[in-house]
Amino acid sequence: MTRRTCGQSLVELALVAPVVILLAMAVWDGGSVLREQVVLQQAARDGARVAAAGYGQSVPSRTVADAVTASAADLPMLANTPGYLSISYADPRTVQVRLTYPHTLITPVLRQLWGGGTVVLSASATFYLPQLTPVPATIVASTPTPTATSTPTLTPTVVTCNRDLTIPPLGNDTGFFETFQLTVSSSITATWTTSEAVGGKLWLYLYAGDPFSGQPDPAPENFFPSDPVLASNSGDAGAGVSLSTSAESPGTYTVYFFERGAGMSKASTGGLGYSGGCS
Amino acid sequence: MLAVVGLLYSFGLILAQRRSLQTAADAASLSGAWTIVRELASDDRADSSVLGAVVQLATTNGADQANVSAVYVDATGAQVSVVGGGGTFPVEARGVRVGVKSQVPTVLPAFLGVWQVLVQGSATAVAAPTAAPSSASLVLPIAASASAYAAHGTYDLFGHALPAGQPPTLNLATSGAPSFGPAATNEQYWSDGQHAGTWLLTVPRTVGLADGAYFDAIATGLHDNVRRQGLMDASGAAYALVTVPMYDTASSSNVHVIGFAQLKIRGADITLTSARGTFVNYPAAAFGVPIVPSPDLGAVVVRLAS
Repeated sequence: MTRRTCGQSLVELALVAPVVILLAMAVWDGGSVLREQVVLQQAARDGARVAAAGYGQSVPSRTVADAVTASAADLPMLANTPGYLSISYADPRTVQVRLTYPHTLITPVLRQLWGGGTVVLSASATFYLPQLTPVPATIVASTPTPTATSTPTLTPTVVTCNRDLTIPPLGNDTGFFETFQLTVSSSITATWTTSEAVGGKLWLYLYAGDPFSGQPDPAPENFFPSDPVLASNSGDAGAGVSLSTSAESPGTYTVYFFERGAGMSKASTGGLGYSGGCS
Repeated sequence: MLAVVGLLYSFGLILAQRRSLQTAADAASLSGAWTIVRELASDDRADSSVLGAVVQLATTNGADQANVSAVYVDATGAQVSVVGGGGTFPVEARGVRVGVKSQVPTVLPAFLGVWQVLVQGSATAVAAPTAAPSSASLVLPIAASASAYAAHGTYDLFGHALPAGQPPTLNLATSGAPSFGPAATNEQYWSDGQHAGTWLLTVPRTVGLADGAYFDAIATGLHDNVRRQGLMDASGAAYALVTVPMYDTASSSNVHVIGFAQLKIRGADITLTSARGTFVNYPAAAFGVPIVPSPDLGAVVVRLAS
């Protein structure tokens, strides 16, 4: 190589080198900007996911900021940037996280050429704001204490049965019996009245079960079952007679309307009362 | 050299755009999955709601509406049908797979010979089954058998006696619920969605039975519950979403509650003898873990599957 060509190369290098160096710096700074933009976008996305995880409660800004800075660990200066994080709720169902980050160009020449040397990067992500419990959509503001009318009644399974019975005419020392089912534990009341002037007495007998099974009704004269009597009472015809027990267990019971005396030529009125429904 | 520089810049732009599209796909799919859960709870299953949610979140995050596509997937992630078909979506849909794409112009196309590059992002969000929460507030004082649960199956709260014959009405006071007076008043107030306050029923737990059915009291409370929640489905019917304790075993005096199901019950379906509703899926817990629940009581957790 002659001195002449060597000098030519030097001149060419001197002409090309600034361009090459400038391009290399641009690649370096440009690549850095793009890399930081990707990191910032990912951080915004991660922050928005955390912000949307309150499930009806707003997530503290500190928690979102921690998620952002953890995701953007490659941007150590991010957390020191004033106002870098913005959390907004554009509507009740979305939350947006916006990040801004000033990137300072690395190379002094580009910094001078850019004017200030700072490129402000920004990224945002918007996520759906779910409610953990989708109800109630709206709570009616006025929720009055239920009034007396809405105070519930007793449980519908317990009802009272009051039965009117017609006692047919009875012969001497005979009686009419009525068998019924008690479905719940309950007291039993029985009544018997007549307007007829009866010489004898009216008797009420209560038996467990159906001890009159197979007997005609009214029963034969002076018929009494061998079963024990649970309760009994007697009264004069004019005043009538009533019978009342304490709580009896569910089961079958029979009331015996027995007239001791000369008989009754007319029908009379009886009554039965107990809880659990008529049967 | 300029070509190399252009290639590097283009590569960087593509990476940045891809990151942005992935955010849009993630947000849109999660929004779609949550909307599906909401639509399942109301039993409306409106496709338009899901489509609107997907498009809104995708476009808000920078995607072009024309470049957004979505399909319904079931709990396993298998495709069921296309979002945007109109009408109601399939009852087995539990999530959406969203795809977004964008054409990124290259730098120095003359050198590279490529004017633009297609960049795509996709994400799948699914409401996956999970275990029912271990505690719940404002639970109804009437239990249902866990074996009776069927997703979107109808169930009459008053129509299923316990094996021993008693009505499944609970005395929640035996588990610490606040008491307001006589049993009938308690049953009404525990059913109205307000009076139990912050009290929680924690399970598994044995809960004592009430001394009667008290269906009239519960029906009164349920009607009040419907009024308070103020929800209305696509048919215009007022309804409430109520939490039902689910039991696995029962005796003549108590039931063993193991979890909770949610029932959509319309005001028109509540009478003194019947309270018929539909079991619906519900979000169970934040950051829940998808598992194969046994039994399945409809609890789900929404997550990004891919």
